[in-house]
Amino acid sequence: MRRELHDLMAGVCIQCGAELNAPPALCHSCGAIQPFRAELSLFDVVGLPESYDLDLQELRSQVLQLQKILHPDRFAQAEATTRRFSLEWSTRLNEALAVLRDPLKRADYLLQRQGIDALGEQVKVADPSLLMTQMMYRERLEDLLAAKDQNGLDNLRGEVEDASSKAVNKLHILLKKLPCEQVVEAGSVLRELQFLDKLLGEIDRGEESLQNL
Amino acid sequence: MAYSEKVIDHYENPRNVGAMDKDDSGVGTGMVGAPACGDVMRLQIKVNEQGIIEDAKFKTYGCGSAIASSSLVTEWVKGKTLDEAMTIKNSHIAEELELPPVKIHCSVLAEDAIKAAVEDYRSKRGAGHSQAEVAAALVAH
Repeated sequence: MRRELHDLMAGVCIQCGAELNAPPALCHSCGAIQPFRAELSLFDVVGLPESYDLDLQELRSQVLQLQKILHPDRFAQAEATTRRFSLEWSTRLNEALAVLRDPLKRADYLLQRQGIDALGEQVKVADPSLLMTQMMYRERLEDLLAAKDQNGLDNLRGEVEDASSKAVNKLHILLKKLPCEQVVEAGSVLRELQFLDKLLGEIDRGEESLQNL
Repeated sequence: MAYSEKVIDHYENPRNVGAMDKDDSGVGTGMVGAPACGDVMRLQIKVNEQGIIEDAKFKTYGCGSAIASSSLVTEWVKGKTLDEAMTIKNSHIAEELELPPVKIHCSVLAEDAIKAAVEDYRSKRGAGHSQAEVAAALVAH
């Protein structure tokens, strides 16, 4: 399952000069912790092949295992450089996990790797059917909250979650082959998913405010 | 981040919230959205036979700055011709509301919404300007 990193990417151990394997945090020959390099992708960091179709359990166990080995507590007595490397790897592992385990952020990351910023602040949406649907969801949410209709809120949440899963399924198809060839379509599905994600956040906040009444 | 008093005023007392019949031939509807923040904005104008915007309504789901920007635009466009409405720039909105740089995109959204509403109205009336508009433009010159 593990992808062997390209020789240039993997590089050699800073201590013994042995060739590094993926993930290139530790030298498998002498055990020295390696400096983090900015050119490593999030997939390199966790030592998994670049793909939208990630096994989340494998991702978690891989990160957990690496965190155990690289955790700064283990290097408390080591020299400053080693402590810094360990801290950096540990931070990067957490960042990689946060992005890769989220279907929205993972898709965004893969598109960004191709130079496409589908969710940038400047990006605007004018697709009438998408906006109409979002507007309708928002209006329904507003009415349901005003009526304190918990059943209605549950139904709305269910519908939005269904729509989100459908969008994620579409992304699985569009990002099956990387680099993605249908970037325009993938971008628009990603934007739809982002709207739905924000909407779910609004439903959460609305329900919370009802419970705190 | 602190909102300016003007933003708070529009947020707490939004002007012209509501909806118009989008199928009415005298109504132009503009909808825009910003995926980064999840904001959705709908701005509608009612145009009379003289080509003047008689009324405007908006509905915005988003942050205070997005609500204030669209609320302000509905106030501004009333009584204006379509061409005048098209000259509204996001910088005017941002300046009036004293929006901080991170919220400039909210004013851009409101500018896009009014432009989209005018375009929607014009496309309903057939390509180009209505006769009344042409007449109004001639009188103005």
